[in-house]
Amino acid sequence: MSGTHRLGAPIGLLLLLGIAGCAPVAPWERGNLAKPNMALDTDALEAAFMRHAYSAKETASGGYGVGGGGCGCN
Amino acid sequence: MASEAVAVAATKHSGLAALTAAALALPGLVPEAEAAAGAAGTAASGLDSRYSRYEESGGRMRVEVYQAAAQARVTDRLSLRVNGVKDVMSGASPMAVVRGGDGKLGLVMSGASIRDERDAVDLSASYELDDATLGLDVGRSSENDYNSNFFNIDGRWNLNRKTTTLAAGYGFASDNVWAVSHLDGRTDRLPGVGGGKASHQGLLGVTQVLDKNSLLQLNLTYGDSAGFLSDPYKWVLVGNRLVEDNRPSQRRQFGVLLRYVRHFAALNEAALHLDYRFYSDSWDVDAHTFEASWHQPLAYGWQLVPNFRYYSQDSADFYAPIFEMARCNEPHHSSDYRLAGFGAVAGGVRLENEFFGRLRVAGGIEFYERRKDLGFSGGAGTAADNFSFSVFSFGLNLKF
Repeated sequence: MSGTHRLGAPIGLLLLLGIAGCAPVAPWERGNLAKPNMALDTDALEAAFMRHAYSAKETASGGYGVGGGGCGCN
Repeated sequence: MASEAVAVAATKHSGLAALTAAALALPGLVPEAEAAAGAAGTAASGLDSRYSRYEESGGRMRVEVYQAAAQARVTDRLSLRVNGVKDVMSGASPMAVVRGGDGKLGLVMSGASIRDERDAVDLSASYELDDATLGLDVGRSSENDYNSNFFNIDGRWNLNRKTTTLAAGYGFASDNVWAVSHLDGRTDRLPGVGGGKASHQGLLGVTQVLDKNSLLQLNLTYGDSAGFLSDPYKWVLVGNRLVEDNRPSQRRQFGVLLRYVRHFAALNEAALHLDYRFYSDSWDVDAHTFEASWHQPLAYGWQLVPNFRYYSQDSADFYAPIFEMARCNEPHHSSDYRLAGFGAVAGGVRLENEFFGRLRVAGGIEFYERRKDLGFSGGAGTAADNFSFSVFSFGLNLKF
């Protein structure tokens, strides 16, 4: 896990800068954010399947949520 | 005149209320379970189904995937969801890497004898409080050589007038793996091969509205698995002997996921999605994943979604394609291609539309190319493990 500490500080800084730079957004200004294509996952079943396929062929997995069962995929 | 003014005021008020309600239900800020309910991320009742055909190059694995999900809003606060997946797998899989007579490395394949099915089902409940949502998910996945039982809990809290959402989650899975043989149409369990493992995973996340057109999400995940983590079908060439794949019995995994979504009103309400994930584990694998997709509305309600993905990882510290000689005091060794250093590019496109405000239809295609020389992370590996796959899919989503 050699890279963990290397990336922790830049990512934390990026997040702080992002939040610090946020302009106040009133509820009635959020129409664009509520559009379907602004959902983080616009097609839940497709996202679930593709992440399962990638995690079966690569070492990295996770990040998008907790849990789910493993598999004997080869 | 007075009644007209009241009517206009009422119309403005209801319009504002509707817009406010929609805005408060921001797709990026709803719980994962609710986000899984539909394209808009609301917890409305509905049915989802999807068929996918996954096929690897060179006559390797082919998988037919059937997914179905049903969600119902039971009360104003409680939603239930059941999710099912059936995979039908066939084809061949790499078992070992060996050196041929010409000195080049090659693969020993299982033969096209693998035939398996995976059935998975999970049931989740989501309960909404005034400024928070709690979720519970319980499920099981089974194959003829693997089973997994799992549960997850998560909570999300809205802050700053719902422009910030904090998330926390925990998941546990208990898995068992063993090996089977396929001879004369019979599937028999091989005795003494395999074992169990227990996995814990935790998540902390924050989603932040940056302005009226963009939002950002950061998730940190940590996982700890212990038990039998080897692959009972893999073999390793050590010296001149093939020995069983043998990995450490514990693995700690750490991930950072950063997601950014931006709306472009001037481009016919298009949206850009960017994801980056850093992964690191105690087997000394570091990996980077970059994903981008463009959601472009077209005429008559159609939407085109091209996407691109790049992945790079280095190799595990006990990985080598082959071990030229036995290693003293090093019990762990694997030549599993998934633990090698490599890179992969993928791209695809999805076309979708919604009819009658209820029925969403989507079809897509995805191509993936994995190559030893595409990665920038370094590490051991061999071009003999290069392969590609394609996925064709079709989905229907019905909202009630």
